[in-house]
Formats: sequence, structure tokens, C-alpha cells
Amino acid sequence: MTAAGDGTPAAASPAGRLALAGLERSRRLTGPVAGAAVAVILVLLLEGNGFASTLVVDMLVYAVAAMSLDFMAGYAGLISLGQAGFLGVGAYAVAIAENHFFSPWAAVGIALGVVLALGLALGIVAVRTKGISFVIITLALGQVLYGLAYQWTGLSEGDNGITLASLPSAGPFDLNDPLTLRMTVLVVFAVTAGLLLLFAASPFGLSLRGVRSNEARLAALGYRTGLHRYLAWVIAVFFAGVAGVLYIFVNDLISPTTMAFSADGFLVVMVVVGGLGSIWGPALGAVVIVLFQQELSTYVTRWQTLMGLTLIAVVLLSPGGFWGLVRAVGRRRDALITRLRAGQAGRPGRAEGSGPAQEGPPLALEAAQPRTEPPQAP
Amino acid sequence: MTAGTSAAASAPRPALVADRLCRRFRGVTAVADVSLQIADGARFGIIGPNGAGKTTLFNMLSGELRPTSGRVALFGRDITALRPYRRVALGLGRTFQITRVFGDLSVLENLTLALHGLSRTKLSLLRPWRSYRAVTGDAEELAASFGLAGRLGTRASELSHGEIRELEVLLTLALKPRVLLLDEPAAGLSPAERVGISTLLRSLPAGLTLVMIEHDIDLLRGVVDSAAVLHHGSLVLEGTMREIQRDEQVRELYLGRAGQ
Amino acid sequence: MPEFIAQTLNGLTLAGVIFLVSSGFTLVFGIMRVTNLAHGAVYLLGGYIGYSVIGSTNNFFYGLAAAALATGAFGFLLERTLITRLRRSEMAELLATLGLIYVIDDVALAIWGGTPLTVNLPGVLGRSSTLPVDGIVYPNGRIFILGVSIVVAAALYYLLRRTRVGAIIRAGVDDREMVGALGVNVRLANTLVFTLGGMLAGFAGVLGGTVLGLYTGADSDMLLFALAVVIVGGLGSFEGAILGSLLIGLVVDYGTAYFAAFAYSVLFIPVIVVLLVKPQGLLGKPGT
Repeated sequence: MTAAGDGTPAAASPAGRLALAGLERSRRLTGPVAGAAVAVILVLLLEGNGFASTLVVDMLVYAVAAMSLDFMAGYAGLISLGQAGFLGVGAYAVAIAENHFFSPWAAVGIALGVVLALGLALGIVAVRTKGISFVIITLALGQVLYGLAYQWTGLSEGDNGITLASLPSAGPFDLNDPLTLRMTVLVVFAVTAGLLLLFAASPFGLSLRGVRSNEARLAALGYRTGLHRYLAWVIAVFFAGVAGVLYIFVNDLISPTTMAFSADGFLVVMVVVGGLGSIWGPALGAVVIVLFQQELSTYVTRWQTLMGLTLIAVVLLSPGGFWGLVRAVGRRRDALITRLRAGQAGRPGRAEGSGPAQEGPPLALEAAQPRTEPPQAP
Repeated sequence: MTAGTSAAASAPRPALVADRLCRRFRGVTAVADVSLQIADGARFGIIGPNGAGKTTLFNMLSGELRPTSGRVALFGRDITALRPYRRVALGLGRTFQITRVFGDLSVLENLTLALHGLSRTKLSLLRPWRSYRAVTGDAEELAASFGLAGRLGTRASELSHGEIRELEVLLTLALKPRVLLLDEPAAGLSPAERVGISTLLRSLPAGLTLVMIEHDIDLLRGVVDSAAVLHHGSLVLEGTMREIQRDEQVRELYLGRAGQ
Repeated sequence: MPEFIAQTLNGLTLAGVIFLVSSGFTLVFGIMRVTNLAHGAVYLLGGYIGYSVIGSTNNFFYGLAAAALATGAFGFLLERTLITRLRRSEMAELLATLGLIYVIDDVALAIWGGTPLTVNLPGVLGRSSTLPVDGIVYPNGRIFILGVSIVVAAALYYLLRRTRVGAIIRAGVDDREMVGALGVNVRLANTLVFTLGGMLAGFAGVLGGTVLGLYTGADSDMLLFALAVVIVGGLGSFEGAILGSLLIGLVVDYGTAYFAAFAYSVLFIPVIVVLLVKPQGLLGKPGT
């Protein structure tokens, strides 16, 4: 981002002042706008048994799954096409545990334990591969889990799926009450988002971005990169399981379709359309895709075609997804404000060269490499 | 080829020893029986025409390649079987010809990553990395000491060639190496950028042992005291820079039939 | 014993169909590093097209030809429009093909509906014969599929090993940049391989439509098989596709027959073993 630096005090003019004021106001509004969005969500959730609240709850559940996928895909570069499989395992585990006479609370614990164990075990195989191979392996993994749900009828009741017996309750806190359930989903979503954002901002999160950017170099700096990828996988899979538990509480039913390939694909679409590597973006992506699925489908029968085309369009035009666009616009605005301010004060725009710090994961789908020279002979 | 840099038998342990290193690739001998002893604190160069085996030798010293035969020792400790990240922990740092910085990350993030590499905090999950003030402070200092202070927020892929090279060296320095291997740090740089790199190299801490592959004799002269000449994988000559520049064989290598 | 032989033949038949699909997939990957996730959808699309053409012309072979031509054309168009725009990023290409799956599946659903369909085999192919082995009665259609697969494999092998075009393709698989530097028209080679891959997939779709049927989800099933094949055999390796197809076809078939609950999961065993022992695939090159 280069500034003009030509010394003209452009913004000293009335037009410039007006523009500056407008831009600054828009920047100040981001906070309130976000707050308003939260308020809207709360209101929708609180209102009776309306279908709006069901919609929002669905969005929140899938947002948890999408954010979990983003943690490994957007930060460590591990794009998994099998994440819906782990969501399914979480949901099935709750249902199967209850079928075997465990209490709902115990079932939750068992489900999370199963997902964790599965993640720990399968991670050993999954992280032996990188890039495209990893995508392929996770697709295969997800499909195998789907196959188990479909064919291990003794355990999973096959195509019919399993209906949940009851939801957890503890005294006054009863998830059988729709309002309590919806609020719980919201809280879990918020906690998940908070945790994942924290992890992403931690040194470990930074190391994941290093893995994605240049794994060999990171290894040369003393990092055990395989371990870091493994941990990212385990964390991501665990939260997919959490989403699964929420899923079956909200829907009362789990069937193999929830784990079919298209479900895995939906999650990836949510992440990419929302914005790889931003945690918030994929949550937004979940909102959009659930809207496509529940709302758009009533007006447009061919909504899946639209969704596919959207993904293709995003990949072609804005690889950073929706969030990437928002950030790019924000950066332009910040740079413009800096320039206008400098102009107003009569100083030439500082050609800082970098503008405001360009933090955060990149907008591309793959790591950028610095311009390098061709390899020399040894 | 005997030690050209350490004097008496009771001299302190050499920083880096290559003992009859060989590397063959399916019939091609890239490095043939090279032995070197580099003293602690020495500034040592490795020169030779393209294809002489210099980078292969480096790869064996830093662990990217296993030697077909021979050993490598760091401060007396045999490290031949150790993987690169283990050697890093023992104090051996290395830069690469094809610069490998973290292109997507800012200069500050690059350096922070490197600085966390030495400690267990790299696995820390619950605090933002920006809150580790000591580390980010060190990163800012490192950048400032070598002229990159104003670029802390810039993505590494957007730096100039010379700045990327500097960042590369800084990343390796962040690990507080005792021995630093530099693979053609000036390759592809414009004359102006070379000055920058040269200044950086000369201002490196005195106690740091430096081993450098470089084609640019002028640059070498300003930085190293002695060097070894490689040709077709073998060590041809070892001595001070003056001795090497005066040597007939070397002149023939560079300017004669086998020249660059 | 006769049952086991019949089962094995079933497995080989499946292997044949899988081979036709995965050979195209692996060649496209080998020469272009493109992971075409939509390959399974193209298989299904070809099957549906063949079904319709057979329905209206009453000629099985017209159906086969039409399917192959249609999917070949589709592959050609896809490569020329979408893939060339995304050459800078492998992940972008992969994700674009993911989006394509939804488009193809949805359009197919609109045209052919969601009810499973079967492609009918004409005349003698629809009947069964008694094999010289153990007096087994075995469907001719399956024998036909097996035969066709072998012939195509041989033809592809000849193409790759004995023709100039094949040499270019193999060189491209080995070292993409070098081939370009040698002045070979890489773009042409890319388009050719992509088109060929499409044709093979569509062709396989009609054949698969006879014994496996055409149903929603057949594309994911076949994609999974193809992926298992390339993991086991090695991404980019033609011989690996042959080996992998045999292995996966037999494993899946035996699995379905003898371990109904774990049929899908059984194919996971060779995949895991290969990943643990030789991650680049049995016949793959290191670094893939």
C-alpha cells in the first residue's frame, strides 16, 4: 500500500474534510453495528417457538462446526473434507449412549470423550499428509465414518437414524425447555468462538500460521511442526464433536445424511465463503449457507447450484471470502483516513509503505511466498 | 587436509568439525572426503564454482542431508545423526539460498515466531502472543538493530529483496546460535543491497562462529578471515583469504577452464 | 468355492469400473496437479446421459459413445474456462471443483430426478453364461465390463508408453516445468489429458450404471473409491491406478459380501496401511 506522499494538502479542502468526517464516522460505527447484530440474535432467540429462532439456533450450531474447521484450515492450512464426520460422531455418540441407558449428562461426557479419542487416534494418520493429500485423506476418513453410520446398523440403526430419548437437566436447568436450550446453544457458541479466537491469537496459533506459511522453515527454527499440526487437528475435531452434541439436542434426531459428503462440503463452503482464517468469517459463512439451505430453498429449487456457483465465484474473485473483503475495505478506509488526516494538517502523506499493520491470516487460499531467485547449483 | 585455523594441540575445542564427509547421489559424488575444523569465533568462507558441492556440504552440516560417510561434530559433540531442529537447539543456525521467511506474516510476527522457538511458550494456548512483552520487545530490538524497525508491520512477502535477506539472517540470529551457516547471503542482490548485507554481517556478535558460502570475493574479503575452496566436491585449498587469492590453482578454477 | 470365484469376479468387475475412473483422475493430477473432486460427479453425469441416449435410441453402444463424448466435451470446457484461470493455486482449483460437484449434482437431479436408475444391457450382454470354471453361471454384462476395462487399460498403457503424446504426458507427470521449457505445448497436453479423463469417467458411468446403478450419492461413492485408489497406488501413477483399483475393488467387494456392517470401512485398511508405511503410495513418487 503506497501513500501519495506528494505533499499536496488535499484534505484541507471542504470536500476533503467532509470525506474524512464520513469515513471516520463509519469506522466508529463498526462497534455499534456489531452490538446491534448481537442484539438482533438475542431477540430472535428469545421470541417464542417461531421458526426464526430455530433458524438462528441451526446457524449457531453450524457456526461452531465451521469455526472449528477454520481453526485447522485457516490457520494451519489443513483443509479437511471430513469434518462433518466428527460432528456426526458426536451426535451419534450421545444418542447411542442414551440407548444404552446412560443419563443424558453422562452421554454428553461419553460423546466428547469418544470424539476426543477418535481425534487423537485418527490424527496420527491424518497428519502424516499435507496439502492436497490431506484433503483427500480426510475426505476418505469422513466417508468411512459415514459408511459406518450407514452400515453398522446394529449400533447406528442405519438409514433410519436414532431419535434422542431425552435431554440433560439438572434441577431448574432443563434443556428440555426450548428457551433454555437455545440460550445454552448461544453460550456454547460464544465460548467456542472466544476460545478459538484466543487460541488463534496465542503463540500456538501463530505457530500454526507459520506451519501454513513455511513449514520447513519453522522446523528449522526448532519447532516440531508435526506435533503442532496434530494438536490443531485434535482441537478442531473436538469442537466439531461439540457441535455434534448441540446438533442432536437441537434436532432430536441423527441420521447418516448429516455425515454425507455434501455435509462435509457445506462446512468447507461455509469456511471459504465466510473467510478462511478469521474464525468470525466462517461463523458468518454458516449463517449464509444455512439461509441458502432453509430459506432460499423455498424460492429457488436449485439453491445447491447457486451455492456451488457462489463457491466458485469466491474462489475466483475473492479468495479471502466475505471476511477478507470486509478487511480489505477496512484497510483501504484506514489508509485513506491516514492520508486525509495528514493532508488536513498540511503535512504530506507519509509514504510509510506498509500502512497500518497487516496482521492476521492472508487473503489467499495458499501461503504467499516472497520473490525468490531460481535455485543455484550446489 | 589438516586444520588451517586452530594452532596448538591444546587449542580450545573447534566449533564445527567436518570429518571426511562424503555424499553420493546414485553414482554422482557431490562431496568427496571433505574435512574441516573451524575454530570457535572464526569467520570462515567456503568458495568454489557452481556445482562444486558447497550447498551439499552445508546440507550435511545443518542436517538436511545425511552424509554417505563421515561425521559432523559441534563443539565436540557428534551431531551426524541429529535432525535439523535438534541441531538448532544445540546452537547451529543456518540460512538458505532460497530465502525462507514466512511470507504471509509480518516482520514482527516472523521474528516473534523465531524467538518463541527456543522456549516451551511456543505451545502456549491461553495468552495472546502480543502479551509476551519480553519476546515482542526482543523482536523489535532485533529488527531495529538491523534497520528493519520501520517495517515491523509489513508482510514479509512485500519486503524488498535485500530486506528479505536481512530478515532471513535475523530469524536465524533469534535462535542465539553459536555457529551460523550462511548460504550465499548476497545472491541476487543489487550492489546497493550488498552493502546492506555486508554491513549486517560485519556487525554480527564477535563470539559467533560464521561459516559462509559466497561467490562475491569482495564481500567475503570484508567478512571472513580464511576460507576453503571446493571443486568437484573435493577440498582443493584452505587458508587465509590472501593465500587463496594468490593461489594459481584457484585463479585457474575461477578464471580459467573450470571458471564460473 | 464357486461362490468365492464369483465374488472375486465381482470384485474384478468393480475394479474395472474403478480403474476407468481413477486412471483419469490420477493422470490429471499427475500432469496438472489438479485434484478434480468433481470427477465422481462427471462419472454419474455420464451414466445419466448414457441412460437417456440408450433410452431414446435403444442402442447401448450409442449410449456409451454419447456419454464419453459429452463428458469429454465437458472436461474440455472445464479445463479451458475454469482451470486455466486458477492455475496459480492448487487449493483454489480443488475448491472450485468442490463447488462444481454441487452444480452438477443439482442439475442432474433436476433432469433425471432422485430415483435410482439402472442402465440396461442389450441382448446377449443382458444374459448369463456358464463359465468353464466350476460351472459357474455369471452375467455376461460383468464379463463385458471386465473385458472392456482390460482393453482400455491396455490401450492407455500403449498410449503412455509407446506414443509421442504419451511420452509428453509421462514427462509432464515427472517434471511439469521442464516439459514447458522444452518447448512442448503444455497447455495442449493439459487440455488433452483433462478431456481424456472426462471421457473415461463418462464411459465408466454407463458401464457402472449397469451393475452398480445410477443414484444420488453414486458420485461420492465412486469418488471415494478413486481417492482410495490414488492413495494406495500413488497420486499421478498410472500403474498405481491399476494396482490400486485391483486392490480396492477386491477389498470393497469382499467387504460388502462378508462384512456387511463394515463394507465401506474395510477399504480403509489398505489406505491406513499404505499411509503408515509408504505415504506417497505404493508406486508413487516421494514428495507427492
